[in-house]
Amino acid sequence: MDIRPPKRALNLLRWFCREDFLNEIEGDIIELFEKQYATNPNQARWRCYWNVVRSFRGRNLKFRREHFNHNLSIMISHYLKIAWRGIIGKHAYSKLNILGLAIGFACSLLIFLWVKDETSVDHQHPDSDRIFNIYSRNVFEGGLNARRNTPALLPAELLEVIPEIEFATGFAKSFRLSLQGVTEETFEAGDVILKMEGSRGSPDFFEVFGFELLEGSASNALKDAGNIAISKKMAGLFFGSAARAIGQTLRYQDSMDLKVTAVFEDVDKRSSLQFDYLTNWDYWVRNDDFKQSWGHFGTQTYVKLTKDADPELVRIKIRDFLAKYMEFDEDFKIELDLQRFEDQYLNGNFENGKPVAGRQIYVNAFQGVAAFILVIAILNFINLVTAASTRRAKEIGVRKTVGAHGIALKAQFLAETLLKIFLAFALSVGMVMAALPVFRDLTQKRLFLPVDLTFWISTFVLLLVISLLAGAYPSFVLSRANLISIRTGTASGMPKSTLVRKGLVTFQFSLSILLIIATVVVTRQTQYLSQVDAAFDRSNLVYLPLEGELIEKYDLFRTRASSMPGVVMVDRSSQVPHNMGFSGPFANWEGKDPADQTPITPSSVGFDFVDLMKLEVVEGRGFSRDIVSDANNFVINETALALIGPDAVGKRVGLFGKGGIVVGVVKDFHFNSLHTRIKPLFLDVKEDLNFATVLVRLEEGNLTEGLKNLKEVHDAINPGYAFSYTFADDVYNEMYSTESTTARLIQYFAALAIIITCLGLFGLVAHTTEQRVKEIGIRKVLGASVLNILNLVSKDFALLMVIAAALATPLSHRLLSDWLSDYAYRIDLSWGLFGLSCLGVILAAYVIIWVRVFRSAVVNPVMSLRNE
Amino acid sequence: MTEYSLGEFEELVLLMVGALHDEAYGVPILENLEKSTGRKVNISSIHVTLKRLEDKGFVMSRTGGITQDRGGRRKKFYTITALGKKKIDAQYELRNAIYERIPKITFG
Repeated sequence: MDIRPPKRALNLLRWFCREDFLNEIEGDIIELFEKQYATNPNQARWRCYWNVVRSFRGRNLKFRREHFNHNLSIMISHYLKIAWRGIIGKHAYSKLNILGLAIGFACSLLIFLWVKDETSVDHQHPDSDRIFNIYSRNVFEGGLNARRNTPALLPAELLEVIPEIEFATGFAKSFRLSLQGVTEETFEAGDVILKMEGSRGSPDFFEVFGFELLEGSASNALKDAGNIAISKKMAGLFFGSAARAIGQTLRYQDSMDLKVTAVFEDVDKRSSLQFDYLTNWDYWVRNDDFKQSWGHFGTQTYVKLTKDADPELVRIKIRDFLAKYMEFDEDFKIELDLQRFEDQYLNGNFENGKPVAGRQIYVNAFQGVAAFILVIAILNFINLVTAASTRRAKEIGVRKTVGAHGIALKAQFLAETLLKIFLAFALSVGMVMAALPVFRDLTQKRLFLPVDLTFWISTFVLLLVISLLAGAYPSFVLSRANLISIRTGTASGMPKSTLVRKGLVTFQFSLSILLIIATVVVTRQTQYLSQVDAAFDRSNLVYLPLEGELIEKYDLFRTRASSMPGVVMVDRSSQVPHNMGFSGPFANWEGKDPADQTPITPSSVGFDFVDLMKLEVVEGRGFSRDIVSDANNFVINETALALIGPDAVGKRVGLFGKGGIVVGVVKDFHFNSLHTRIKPLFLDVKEDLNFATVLVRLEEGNLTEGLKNLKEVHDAINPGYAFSYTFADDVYNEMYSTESTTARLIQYFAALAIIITCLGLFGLVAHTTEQRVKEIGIRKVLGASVLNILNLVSKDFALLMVIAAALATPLSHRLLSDWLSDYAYRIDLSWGLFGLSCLGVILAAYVIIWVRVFRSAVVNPVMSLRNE
Repeated sequence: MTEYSLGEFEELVLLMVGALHDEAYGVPILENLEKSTGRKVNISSIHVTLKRLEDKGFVMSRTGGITQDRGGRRKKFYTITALGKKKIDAQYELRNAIYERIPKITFG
């Protein structure tokens, strides 16, 4: 009988001993054991263990560095050569692998660029940690309400009272009540008359912020009342250059002559404060009584603290600052607080009186997405590589027979992985460069690939780490694989890891289904928004600001302009038709319940409003210039009708001190964004109001002539102001620009997810079919058709698809109905939508599966069964 | 010659390799040494010493043929090299030279 030496001892030896010594040492130990066994069996076993333990000496160990080739550069180039050949050898498969990874890298890179840009906004000012924004907080019984608006007198007052504040300035872009968002003002110098966007600033403005001055100095840029600081662009437009602009005069809003005391570099996009000019703060305040009161909350305040000031101390000091100037009681008071200027952009929203993350949420979300995509891409990569292991088994077997050591073998596969990853990265950089123009357009940012060294070095290190992680698992799998079973093709594969892989693919499919559904819903909702019948005609409609001489000479303008060719009609509205934001319980009517606080939207229009807007009159009539009493009468919409009661026409209504009767009801139209339900609308006529938007309906097809004539009439009546106009449908679409951007983003993401998922699926299918080569061969011999084989394999995946769909559908329904609930007007989430999307994705999956299986299924069984 | 001087154990192993001609490998070296010196030696010491000697060029090795015993593990045979022989000779001469200088005293 064979005396066997203790197995455990030998296994232990095998574990630590280097392979080229193993034969000798193991053999000697066994021989000794056999000899000793004859005389003293028990001692022999013990001796054997002891000998193994004693053999654990430095020189014998596997793990020593001298084990490797000493010449590093030769070794590296050798491994790279082998790795490269390994990649080229498996042509198509390698391309797929690298492509998938490259896509993942490219996405993450793009997102990284966006995040970097977002986080660098407002970070360019020196002493950034001392710059703060002062905001106000309404404290009343119902709760806390904060906003960035502060009184115009605040900066100067803070500067005087609080020693910790070194510099203070206000910031206010002019606003007109009716045209929200348009803040342009007219400037004239010589022949040039243009509208520009800008703000006012205190004398300290350039001390607080570090905007670069090309001409003039920070201390006297806005020192005196009549001073103005302009941007390089503006200087160029009016005077030809910055140097020539200094000291010149600019006529402002046809009412003031200002002296150019400074020219600053054009404000970079990465600043949340955007302006082409700054006029003197005090002058602006002094010009308007209202702004001189402490009740005026229409401007922003920024301060720079002294070097050693403690922000917390300042916070305490300013909290009840306003109490000295305003009257508060227990029910209501206004506090002041401060927020770092750097944080303002990303954490610009207020909730419960405190700043909370606004854009920061998006930044975090996108970082999460980037990490996610990267992880999926890498997991896919690993998946594909291990799936290929069986195919490479023969190669591995040969290598081992020729004497490749464990670690050397692993190193070879690691080198291959490294090479693939670096190639993928190089490819992704190319992709990013190609995609940058589109991406810039999408994000409205100027993004560039970074050229600084730190970025590239850290990326390099990151790639190395990824390679090690990604390469570790497959190389272990590949080198451990049993020699014999590899060569005979009966490797069973590890059932556990297949489960993990299947789980991964299912998850990716759920994600794809979710994104497809989201894409469909978002796209349809966006289309709906732009197509929904706003019930007033937006085409060929332009808005003009009511300013300068137009205010008094409106009627003259109207009669002259509407008689010009190309112009159909002229009217006005105190609130801009597509976005009437001002509302409240302002109206009173016969039979109104005194407790009723329903907010209504009022707008003072011209006599021809209903006609110009092409509104449908459902009861009564519109205004008429010929009926004298109409100057006091009202027209309401259907929602207002529901509020007042069915016999509203003829009822008396009171609004802002005006009393009259309802003469007509118009069909509801959307004068707010589709996020909100239509409110009750009360229209009255006030053609002499000093604020409004002028509405001009131009003749279809004759726009250029109409605009030209309009300009002529305007310039004749109001020469001190530059003629400017906006198209109603442009402004309307801008309201929904976030939606269209979101739609585009989701579309891109969905496409991405599908591509990555398909790659993952492809890998998995390839793996399982390779494993079952013999099984397929045998089945074919026994008479199975190609179709049978296809079904056989796809059956496994069918279950995965069903699970994926089952996971994705309820989740997407929940998410999307949440999003849609934000809109008062929205599409329906029909089950057909979900069903179709799932079906689409499943179909795509089937196509991929079949394509891959087909290749294996048509193989001649002789070929696959030959090596038995 | 080389400045390196053989340690006591190394010298013994080297001598034994020489003595066993071509048939020197781990186990016989061990057994013979134990018999000659009467002290117990562990096989691992022999292995390590042999490697050291080989690194220094005093011995060279070759792998033996496939056998049935030893669990199929092949033997590694060591032979002394010319350099090794020279080293032993030099060592021997040195010992002798000094030995000759000892006056002929008998110790009881």
